[in-house]
Amino acid sequence: MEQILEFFRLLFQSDSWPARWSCGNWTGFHGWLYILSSFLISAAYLAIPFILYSYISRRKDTPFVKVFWLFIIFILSCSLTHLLDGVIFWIPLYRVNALLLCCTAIVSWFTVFALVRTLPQVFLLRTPAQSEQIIAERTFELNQSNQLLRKMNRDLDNYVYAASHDLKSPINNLEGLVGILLDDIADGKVPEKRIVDKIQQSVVRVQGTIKTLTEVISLEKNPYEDVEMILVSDVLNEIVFENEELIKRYNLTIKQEIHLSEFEYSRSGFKSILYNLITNSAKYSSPERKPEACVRTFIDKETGKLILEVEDNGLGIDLNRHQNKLFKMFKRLHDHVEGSGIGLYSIKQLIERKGGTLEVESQINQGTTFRVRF
Amino acid sequence: MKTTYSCVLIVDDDETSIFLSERIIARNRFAYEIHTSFNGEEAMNFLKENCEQLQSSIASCPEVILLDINMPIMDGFEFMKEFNASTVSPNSKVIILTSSSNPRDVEMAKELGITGYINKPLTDDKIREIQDLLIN
Repeated sequence: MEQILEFFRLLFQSDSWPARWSCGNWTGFHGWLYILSSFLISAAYLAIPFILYSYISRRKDTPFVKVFWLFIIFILSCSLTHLLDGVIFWIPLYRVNALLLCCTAIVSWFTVFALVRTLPQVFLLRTPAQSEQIIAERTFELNQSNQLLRKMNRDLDNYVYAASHDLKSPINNLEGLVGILLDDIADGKVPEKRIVDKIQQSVVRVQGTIKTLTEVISLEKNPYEDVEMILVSDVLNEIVFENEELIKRYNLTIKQEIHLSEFEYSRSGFKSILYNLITNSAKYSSPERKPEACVRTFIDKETGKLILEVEDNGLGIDLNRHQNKLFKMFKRLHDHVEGSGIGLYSIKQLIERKGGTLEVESQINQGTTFRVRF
Repeated sequence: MKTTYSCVLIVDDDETSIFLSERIIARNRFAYEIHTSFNGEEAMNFLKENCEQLQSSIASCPEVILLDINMPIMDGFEFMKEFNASTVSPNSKVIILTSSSNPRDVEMAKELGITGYINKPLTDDKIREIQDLLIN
């Protein structure tokens, strides 16, 4: 304890030792090599903290600032030890030197601990190449969702115009029919029955369009809420049962080739897809032969994905002519058939939203095969 | 000013709409003869049957075609493409009569060189509008 007190009391006294020049057998070359090297190291060590400081003061988002500060103090201390090492050639401040070395040692070890603790996080920092790759990936993802949004926007646009067209048509008719009715009344005539009948038909058409649109909206809103294991034949039987009248009317025979009997999908979505394809097979059946439809499910060997096929022997579609109209809303390719022209449009939307595809193969007057890849 | 035409062809799949158009045309004495087709294909066949020989001398070759856009089998635009590509009735003028207000439809109709684009329902005022369009 006494030694420690004395150490600090005589900290700046230099008369207890000879200057280094006078201690031992220094040649001029040896001594100046030592001194100049020490001063140069000291100067370089002094410069580094300034460079570090200017870096962290300019970049406010510098990571690990505390480690930077520890480095600054550590290198500054090293600089001072080398400076003093040279100065001792003239002024033997060995106590100050010891204290400085001690401080440097402490700071050095703090720096070591800080480095060990920080290094794993430093390795997590991305290199510019990694960052660029991540940016490229994110940009790609953004572009994709952007395209999807544009498509959805276009679809919505089409939907609004198609819906407004199909609503406006019967309302325009109503406007005209009521006009005739008013003219007849003004002329004192008895209103024609067929005008009243047509008014009634137009009202039914408006109601039908509204019903169809409501169905589309509810299907598009939450099409995948009821995902569960579904039994294909169960759903098929349900559709046959619910549409018995239509199937009987067209005398449609439905065959089943179910190679994959159950899979996980939205029950209402799958039912809607199968319903539309089967009822299309009935509606577009050929009067020249007994209508048949074959429902097939199997796993695609190449992709491992489930495939649903509905093949019929109906009227067929001229794909060269109608390919791009086939899946459009409110498009009907035949005029003798009941229907809103919305079925294929909505199931295509439904399938594609879940990453699937809907394909069609057809020969005029031989039949059509719709293939869904889930 | 010519206000009455010898023959008008209405191409529309909606029977009520045809019924109304016929009434308005008759009431305004816009045409002596009115024919109807339920889609573009039927209309094209009608033109082939009635216009190909000695074109203008046949009364049933329509001077004016009132064309709907949304129709099964062959829609209005497909009809226009086929009509433009053929020489079947070069003097017939096409007026689109539709419930569609889609700007893309209006644009497409212009591109296909129609004489006018009128929104349904056909009224007395719209007949006058069509008469003006046909003269200009």
